Amino acid sequence: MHLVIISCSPRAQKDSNTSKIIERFKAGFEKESHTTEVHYLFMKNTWASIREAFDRNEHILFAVPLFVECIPGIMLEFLETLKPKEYAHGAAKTKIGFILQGGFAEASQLRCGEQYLECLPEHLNCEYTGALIKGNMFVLGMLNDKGVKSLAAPFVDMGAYYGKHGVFPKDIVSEFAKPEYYSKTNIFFFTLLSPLQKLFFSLFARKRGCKASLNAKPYH
Amino acid sequence: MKQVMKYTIISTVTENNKEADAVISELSALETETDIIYTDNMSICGCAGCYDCWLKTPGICSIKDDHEQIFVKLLQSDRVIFIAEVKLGFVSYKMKNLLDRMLPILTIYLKFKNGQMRHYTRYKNRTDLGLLYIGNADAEYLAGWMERVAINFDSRSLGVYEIGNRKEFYHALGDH
Repeated sequence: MHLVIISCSPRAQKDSNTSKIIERFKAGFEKESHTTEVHYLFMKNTWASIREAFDRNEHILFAVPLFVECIPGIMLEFLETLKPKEYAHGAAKTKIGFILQGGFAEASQLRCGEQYLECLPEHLNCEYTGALIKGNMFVLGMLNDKGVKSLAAPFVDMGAYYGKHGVFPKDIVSEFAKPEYYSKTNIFFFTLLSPLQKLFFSLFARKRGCKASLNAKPYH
Repeated sequence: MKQVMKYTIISTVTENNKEADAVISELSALETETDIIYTDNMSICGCAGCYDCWLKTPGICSIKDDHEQIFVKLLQSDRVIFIAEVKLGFVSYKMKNLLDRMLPILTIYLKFKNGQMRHYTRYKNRTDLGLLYIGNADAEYLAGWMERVAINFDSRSLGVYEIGNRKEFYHALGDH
């Protein structure tokens, strides 16, 4: 199978958590002697060639960061430039799968976006092969290479799975995406240790050169 | 004395759309203070996902374009009503970009609310959000999506209605 992977992050490839996930997924997918080509939406001047790749190929995977409960504006803008596919008589429909990653750790936070993705391929006259969802990916941007490799490692196995089966079954996705919600105990301890979370983010921001309070109200 | 509700209508469809114009004049006639923004001729980029608004220049978007005036207007409003076209079963990127760029309303700090993780909001005022859409969509899905959008911004959804059903929307506004 030759898979066209389209990264739908607006971030440049080197800074993108979605790209890091794609790298790991691709490594697993190619284990099965499959091939891939990866395109990036953040460079709008390449959209014509991405459209061409979409039109020409039968297996597409959109890798998507969750933005405000659904897909990012840049992906919508690109999709609005696509035409629904047309097929020769008897030809199989193009298959579209998704990776949807978000910052919050709970899978339940990604379900609204997943629900939209379920119906999206039909609008393009394509077939839906499932959406692999996973939260807690914000931290990818805070880790070194070793940490990224470790956190994104499960995507290697899912890449191999997709290469073998060509679908993301719901039960396997739910297992992969756990936890659906945090337990009450976890919520209790998180709340108790909240000052540490604030300290961690403040120090991280200082390291990035931030001089203002993270609670600043510039438009007050 | 009854406090006058501040509305902002944000139309992301092309100017001179008859249905959008009708909504604007009907809502303006309500007992409210209403501002109208047409985004069609504005320069508004999509969110770059850089998180500078959380970690580098807290509360300030790194992209300098016309979105800032919408952001400020939203902070000053009690209610914002979006008018948007539907494409591919979802709101057009023109509206989604506006919402994606609202991230500076939130801080990076996290809390739990009703069993799910949320960000703390940066400002005390809450702006409720409603949507009138043009085109074919699953209204139930869009309503559920808007509910979740509002929860993220610690506000309330005023509902989502196809623009032809706007009378129902006006009626529902009175119930909120």
